Amino acid sequence: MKKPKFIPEFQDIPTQRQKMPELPVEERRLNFKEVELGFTEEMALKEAARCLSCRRCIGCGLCLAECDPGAVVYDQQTESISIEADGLIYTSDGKTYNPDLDLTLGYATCSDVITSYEFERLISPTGPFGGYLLRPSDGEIPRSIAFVQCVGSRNEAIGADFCSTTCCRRSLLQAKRAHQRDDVKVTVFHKGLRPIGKDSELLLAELEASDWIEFVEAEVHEITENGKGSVKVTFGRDKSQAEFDLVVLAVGVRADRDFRRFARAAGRDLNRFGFVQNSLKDLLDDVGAIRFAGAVCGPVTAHTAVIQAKAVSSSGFSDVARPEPRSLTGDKVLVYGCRYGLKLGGVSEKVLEQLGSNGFEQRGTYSYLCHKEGREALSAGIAHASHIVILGCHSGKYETFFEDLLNLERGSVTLISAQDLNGDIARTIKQAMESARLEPAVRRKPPAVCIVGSGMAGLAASRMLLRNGITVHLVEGDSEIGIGFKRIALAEGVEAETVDEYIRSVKDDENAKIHVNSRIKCLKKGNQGYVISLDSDGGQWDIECGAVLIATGSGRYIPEEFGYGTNPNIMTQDEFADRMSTNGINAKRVLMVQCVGARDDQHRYCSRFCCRQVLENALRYKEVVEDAQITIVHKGLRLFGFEEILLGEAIERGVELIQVKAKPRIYGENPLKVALESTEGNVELEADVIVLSAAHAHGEMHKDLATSLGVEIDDLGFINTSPDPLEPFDTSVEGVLACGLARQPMTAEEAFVEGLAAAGTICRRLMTRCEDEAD
Amino acid sequence: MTNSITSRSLIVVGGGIAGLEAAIEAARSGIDVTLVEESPFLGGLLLKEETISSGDYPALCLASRLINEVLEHPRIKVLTNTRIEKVRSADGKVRVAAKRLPPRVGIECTSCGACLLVCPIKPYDTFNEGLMLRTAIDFAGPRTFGGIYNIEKEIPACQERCPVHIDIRRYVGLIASGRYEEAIRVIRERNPLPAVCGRICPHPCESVCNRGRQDEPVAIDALKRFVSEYEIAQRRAGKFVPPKPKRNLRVKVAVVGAGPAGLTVAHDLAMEGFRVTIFEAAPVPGGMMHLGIPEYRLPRDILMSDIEYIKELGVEIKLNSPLTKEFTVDDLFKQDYKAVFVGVGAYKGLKLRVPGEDEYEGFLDCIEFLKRVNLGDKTKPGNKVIVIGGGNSAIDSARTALRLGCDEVTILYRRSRKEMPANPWEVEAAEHEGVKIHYLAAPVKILGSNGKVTGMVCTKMKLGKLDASGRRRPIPIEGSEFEVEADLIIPAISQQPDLSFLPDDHGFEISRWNSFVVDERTMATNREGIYAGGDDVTGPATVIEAIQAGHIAASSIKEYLSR
Repeated sequence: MKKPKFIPEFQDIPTQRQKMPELPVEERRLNFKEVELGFTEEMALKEAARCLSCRRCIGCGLCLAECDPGAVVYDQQTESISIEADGLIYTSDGKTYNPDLDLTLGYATCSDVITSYEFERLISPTGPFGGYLLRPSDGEIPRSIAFVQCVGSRNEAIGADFCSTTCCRRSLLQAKRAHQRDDVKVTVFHKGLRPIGKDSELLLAELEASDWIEFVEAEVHEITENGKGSVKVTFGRDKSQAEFDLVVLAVGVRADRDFRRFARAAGRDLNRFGFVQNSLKDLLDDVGAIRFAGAVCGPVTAHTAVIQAKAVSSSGFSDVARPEPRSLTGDKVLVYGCRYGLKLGGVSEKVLEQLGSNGFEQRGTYSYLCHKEGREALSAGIAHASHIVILGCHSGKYETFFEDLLNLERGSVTLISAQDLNGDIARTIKQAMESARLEPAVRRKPPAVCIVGSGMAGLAASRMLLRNGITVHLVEGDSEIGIGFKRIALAEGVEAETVDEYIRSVKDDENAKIHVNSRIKCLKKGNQGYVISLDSDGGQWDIECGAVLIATGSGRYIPEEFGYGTNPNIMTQDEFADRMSTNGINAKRVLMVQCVGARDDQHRYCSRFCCRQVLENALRYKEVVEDAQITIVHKGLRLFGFEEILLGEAIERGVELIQVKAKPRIYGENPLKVALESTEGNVELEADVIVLSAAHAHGEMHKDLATSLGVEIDDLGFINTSPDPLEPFDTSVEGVLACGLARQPMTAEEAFVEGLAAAGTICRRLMTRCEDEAD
Repeated sequence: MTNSITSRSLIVVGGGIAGLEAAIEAARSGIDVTLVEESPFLGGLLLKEETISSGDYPALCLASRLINEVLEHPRIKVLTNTRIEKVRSADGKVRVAAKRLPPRVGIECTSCGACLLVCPIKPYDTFNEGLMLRTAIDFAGPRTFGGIYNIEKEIPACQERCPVHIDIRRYVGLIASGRYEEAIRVIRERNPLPAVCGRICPHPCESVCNRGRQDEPVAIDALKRFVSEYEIAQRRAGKFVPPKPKRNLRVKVAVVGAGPAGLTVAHDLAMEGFRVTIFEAAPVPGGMMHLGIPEYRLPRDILMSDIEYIKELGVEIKLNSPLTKEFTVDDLFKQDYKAVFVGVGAYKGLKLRVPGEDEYEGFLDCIEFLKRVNLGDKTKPGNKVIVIGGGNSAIDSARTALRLGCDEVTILYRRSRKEMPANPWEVEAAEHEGVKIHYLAAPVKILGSNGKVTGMVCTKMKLGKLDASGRRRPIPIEGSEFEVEADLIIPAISQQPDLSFLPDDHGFEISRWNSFVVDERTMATNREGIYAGGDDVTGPATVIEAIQAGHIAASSIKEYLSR
């Protein structure tokens, strides 16, 4: 049931259903008198008034009567449609968890318990209260708000042991917004905050330092109405209670239920939560006409959804697939009218009749020439046309649109806006045709693209551009391309053969120009766009390109703390993994320290991949050394989406997790000793091996590159990219884009997808630029 | 996700941010895109987001930018309100079958908003998460710059669910304002037997009533009964204007069987002016409504009043006139009837298939039993009665036996109460009146002596996995047999049509359930001009379903005869 909130209740709600009067049981023997006696008129009137009329259209037809333009099609019927296409992309925003299902959350019973999406509407200027933050129950301004995190997420009991990824960041932003709006006090009940995004660490730090917001790491047991116009929240092990004016449930993401049906029909396996789960392996070899993006691939932010969409759709640029444009060889000038365009311009459809013969052949009007019906009419006439004239809505760009549509040479179509049609129609058309370009322009090959870096993103982008016939200059600082790519792909379980094949397909492409051991020196404007000077094996090269894509990835932080380098039993996570592969390790007590070089004063961001890596390595080590005691020391794990499953597995396998408030102190040798200031008190531990989860680090890498290319870097040391989610790869220099780890921390899969998406963006821009120039 | 497509046309499912972006990216690069979205609007969840902003753009503005570009792009065809039903991918092509609900607003819309001002309906605003009200015209204008309108003119749940789609909301509304005459007229538009249905309809409409989600559904059926009684009272007071056929034709149509299906066909065709004659085998009209349903549920004067109404239209009912092997359907055509509807019902009780059946006196099928009582034989049939079965006729038999003075009436049912097909309120009433119900038990053998039934051996059952009917399959528990005493056993385990009246060379297609095979859209049998409907097609079902079949048959007979 959707609960009515701050809306006058149905007036008849309290009325009970009328009970049918019946013949008493004792009078029913030995006769066949009717048992049910029927309603009296009074009862019937009362009962009939109970009908809610479903709050739906009652078919009064007032809208039809009132509609002056005659747009209401009152009796329009359901329509069956069949569509055929070369490909399909299934996207979804996902659904949200329905908190009605859990009565302890109080959503079903208290008006002032709302979901995070309801809060979005409450605070929106286009929402019910015009942007004022008012309580749904009585319209008062709330003074205190509680946010309850992980409602319907990270809860194995309800079969949702995944993190919904977006809610922590959303709640933090909502809290900030509510405070700015009405100076409210905020309490956030959470199970370990996991705000996603490059700047979330800064946002969290800012909020943690504020006095109006309090973070309580505790389980919420019950939320109830307090009777005094407030909501009572019972939380924590000691069942503490607190009262709030408004409670916001940060509801988790659910897969679209319809999607299961679709996926089954499309033959696509889903994970147990009903999402498409793409591992790197799937991304590398997934081919097929049906592809997926957005919240069908798991919980995603709007930014990620856009990037996924770009990656899956930006693959049709392939000019190779487009046949050579034809030229018109007929002897008639055909004139078509677009009814929509004529209507916009206020011109009668009869305008075509005024043309007379005059050397034209008029071909009638169509409701939308750009749509299917019109297109068919256009293609039908092509054979005996020398030129095509369209009287329609806009002029300009649509000429190329129709030329592409019919696969004609540039200059074959003249489009005249209906607004310009006054006076002598025939003369207007002739003038327009004369002033149009006479020489058909030639479509030129798009310029080359320079890609810096051949890791996940760089290689994905290169391959995509090469497939579209674009020349790629791949600049790599190492002596070989794809070293990073190979290391990560192998670690993710991709077969060596697939990886090598992938790298080879880039290396061996005739349009690929590989520059190893190279470094970019500077960027200058050039004929095709840019000229880049390369420092390559001692020599200098100049390469011309139309766009630059920074896909340098990042290096690893080399720990300076925790005695790294002084003791062979203190190693990084990568070294640990290497030694596991070579069986060079057999320690019983393993201590792993998270956030080494991340989320501290020097590195104010979460490195994104390490929490997953530590759990994967811990589980792998448990396979090798079964009785190993593994302890993970962390500052709050940051696991997103389905990474949560690893956490469950790790706990099941006996991996111990200790959350600390400050950096651990390591002392002693054989055994190593560690002093921890945990959230539960001080602990001292002994360990045979200490593994440091070293984060991403750029050092001076980006700084040098940024200087030579002239792009900005942000305070955190990443290449600064546009905050516009629709063009996420743009840097401060036009034509220079950045993707993958160079612009923010992310996982290998995300970097791969970004590579594809960025390549798509570049590809589209170069193609359209070519056509613009050709015009 | 891959980069291997070189397609020129693309379907994008979902109008959320990912879908919009995918569509626009593809369209910009020259691909024809069909964007399919299930809701009336584009933008999805993102449109609702206010605080999730990026740079200078709140999510809302971001979505608006995308939506505008998508709506204006000539390469993108937007199908809102459209739901994907089927998808198939073969030979590099994807084929999708979809259903599009009508938005009811065409491209001529100028977003003037006049309709929003006049619409009297105020549903919850789904876009605003139910925090405010909107109109039945949903308008995405202030949220996006595109301005999309959509009129939600659905059939209400109750009307949709009703097999004959009575405009329930309208007549309930009329009753609420005391306009009973108009209310009964609304019912009669779709239901020629309102007084009957007001009493015995299992009212599936009530089970889907939205009020039921609030507390209890509206008592729709009782309201129908109320207005039909109002009509009867008017008639008795002489204030009733008898119905008149629309025109007068000379074409004759024969209906075999005066049950609900036959009466509906007769009613509908008589209204159209055809001359209809009903051939009824029994001495009374009404079919199962008269012979099966006991009087305590449907008093006979009520039934006759509904039938009287149909007769007033000029329908002739010939009682005691069964079709036989000698007087066949073909003879009807010879008598100048141009079309025939066969609605002979399902009167043949199924056998228990246990030893001892048919051997002793005191073993009576429920249809036989009810028919006997309903035709006036009100003698007490025995003292200890066992009824076998869980349907409505089992309950009817048990309650009837009780009324005849039987001391002990027990119902034996092989599944549990949850699986019982009888209306739950009937079961409750039976228990209330003193009928005992023995669940999870089934007969094994009939016992008797001196040619009379003395009892029965039963076995206990347990429930296994789901069977074809969607109910749990009963499995006998070995060694759990027990004996019960009885002097009358009434099996009520289902019926089949009794088609023994058909001559050997009848030429009809008959199913393995002994029913007529018809084209469900027209109710036409495989023989030209002959239609069938009701229980003799579906097996035992409800009055309202028979009426539904009658309507379909009548309209196709009309079409057939006007050819």
